[in-house]
Amino acid sequence: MNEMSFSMPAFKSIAWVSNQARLSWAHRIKKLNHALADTAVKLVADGLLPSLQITVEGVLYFKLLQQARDLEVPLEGRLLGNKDVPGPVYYWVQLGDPKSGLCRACAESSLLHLESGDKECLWELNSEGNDTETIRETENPAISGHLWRKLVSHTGPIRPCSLHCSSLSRIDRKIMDGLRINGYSEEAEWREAIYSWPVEWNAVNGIAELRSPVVKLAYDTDAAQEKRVIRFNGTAYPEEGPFGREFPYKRRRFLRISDSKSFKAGLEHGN
Amino acid sequence: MGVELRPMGVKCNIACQYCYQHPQRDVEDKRKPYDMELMKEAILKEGQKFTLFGGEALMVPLEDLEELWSWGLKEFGINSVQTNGSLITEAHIDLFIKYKVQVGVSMDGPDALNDVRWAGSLKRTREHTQKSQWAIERMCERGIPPAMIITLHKGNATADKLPEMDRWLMGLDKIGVNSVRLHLMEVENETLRQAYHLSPGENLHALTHFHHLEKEMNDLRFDIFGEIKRLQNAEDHQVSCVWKACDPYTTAAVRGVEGEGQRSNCGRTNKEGIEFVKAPLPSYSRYIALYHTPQEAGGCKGCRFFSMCKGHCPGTSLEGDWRFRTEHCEVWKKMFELAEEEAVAEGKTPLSLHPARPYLEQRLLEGWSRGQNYALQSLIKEMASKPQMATV
Repeated sequence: MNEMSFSMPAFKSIAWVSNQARLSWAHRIKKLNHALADTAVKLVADGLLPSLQITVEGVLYFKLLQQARDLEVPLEGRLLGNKDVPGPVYYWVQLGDPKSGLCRACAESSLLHLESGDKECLWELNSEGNDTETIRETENPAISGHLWRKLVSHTGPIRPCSLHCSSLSRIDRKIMDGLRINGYSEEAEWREAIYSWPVEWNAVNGIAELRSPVVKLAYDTDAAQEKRVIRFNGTAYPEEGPFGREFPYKRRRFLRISDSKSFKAGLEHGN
Repeated sequence: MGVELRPMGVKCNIACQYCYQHPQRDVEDKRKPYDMELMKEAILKEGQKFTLFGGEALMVPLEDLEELWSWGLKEFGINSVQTNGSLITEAHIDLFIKYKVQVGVSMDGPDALNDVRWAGSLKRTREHTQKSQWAIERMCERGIPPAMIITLHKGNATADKLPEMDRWLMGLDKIGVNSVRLHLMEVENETLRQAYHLSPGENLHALTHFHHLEKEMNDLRFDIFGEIKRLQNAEDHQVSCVWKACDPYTTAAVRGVEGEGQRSNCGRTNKEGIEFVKAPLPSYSRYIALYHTPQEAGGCKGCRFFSMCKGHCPGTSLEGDWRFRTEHCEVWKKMFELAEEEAVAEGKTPLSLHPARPYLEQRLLEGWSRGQNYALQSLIKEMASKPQMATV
């Protein structure tokens, strides 16, 4: 049996690859999240999108509530997780009329996901027939929002009907245009950059880890015994990203110690 | 708990084959020179005495060592350093004495038994080993015997090598060394595993062998046996970090300060080769997961030693993944069983067999869920203060 019955309490640990990476990206991500919340409400208020789902962390939810009220946008919000357990708090928010979304199947699968109590759906979303693999590689950009959702507010269905659903790219284009129209051009560029980096998500025993070139984070996920890995290959690598031994970090052709002649001589002596 | 000051990062004058810092050495960019003021500022912010660490700590020039240690003595009243010993000179020993520097030497045995601590060629390796040996003897002569760390591997702890280790250790005991920490080798890749890693049976044989040897020694003690005994007594205030539910994102026992003042974690959990910045808050998710996860899936579910061992150091986890328990589980289980048997033979009830164990486990879990890492000793006090718990 792969699934386990315990539920990991909500937590999130963040480790930046360097102070430089933290200084460059922590405040950008914060600004981007505010810009996304603001833009999401305006897109629906202006009728550019009939409805929109967005997942936000902590106090941003209350900012979203206020703005939706000000712009008279209907809003339904749900706390994701257990309010009695201390830890990071996320809210799923439906802006506008849920019945008028771009894809009915996405709306239905999102509701089913919310009602299931599952913490994530990344693994199932990324199955695409390769159900026996424990490492799944993808180049589908639609997965980026789901991979990054614990740091960057996710816009679009929390559980789309498929990563190939045409509504996803349409929503994404509206979001990017909306950011720019609303004066968030820099934030739009940061979002584009972040979503272009190689990223690995892996999970086992109720703990997920997201590794990116600037930051890694660990957080609670559904408890499964089998280790699951998803790799998004990405198309760019940030200047703050270091060399590392494993994916998703850029790798050296020659490892200074392990590949050196003198080290290998030692191994030979040891054998 | 203390601060590890690493002015030169992981730079080292030798390249021990099994060193857990190699992933970092393999890929890191050239470092900037250290900055004395930034390092001191960072240590003061940490507010604790520091241990000079590396790589090889004594690659720092003597005049800078003197500046750091004179400052350390003034601020904290004491200093310490962890070294492979091969760079120690009479001048260093003068500084150790003058500035009250407690010295820890990492060395795995005499002559060929220390070859795994490779210095580029066999000749240089043996020369370095001789220098380390000289340094240990000289420090003992001058009244400051070092504490030792010995890592067990195929090069020094298989049955055929143990008699030579015994002679060496008896010799160290005779000259005044009284504290030795035994490490089971942390494996970074399969090539190293095949070349040097002891099987669980070999590790057990070596540990039990040293446990018996300890009884023949005058003063020398292997701290690992005392720690396991104390843990079976629910005394965990003075035990080392590996038994204390270490969070790999914050490594509470190791607060690293690098040459430019940057904070870092213990390198044992660094498998990516990247020196991540310490996370702001600890999480004990690993321990909640281990408690619930079946042993066949890399967890500790149902293990009667869990409240003491807690899956051990995340740096030694199965598959190099901190979410699993230690790959040395079989060895530690056996050592806890031996301590259990000894306690029972003395008429005591060890924690592993005590009726209070389930209560303690639940309290640990509750604490971890709230971000608190309770000491067993504190929980025992808490129990004693509850009348309804007095009977367990």
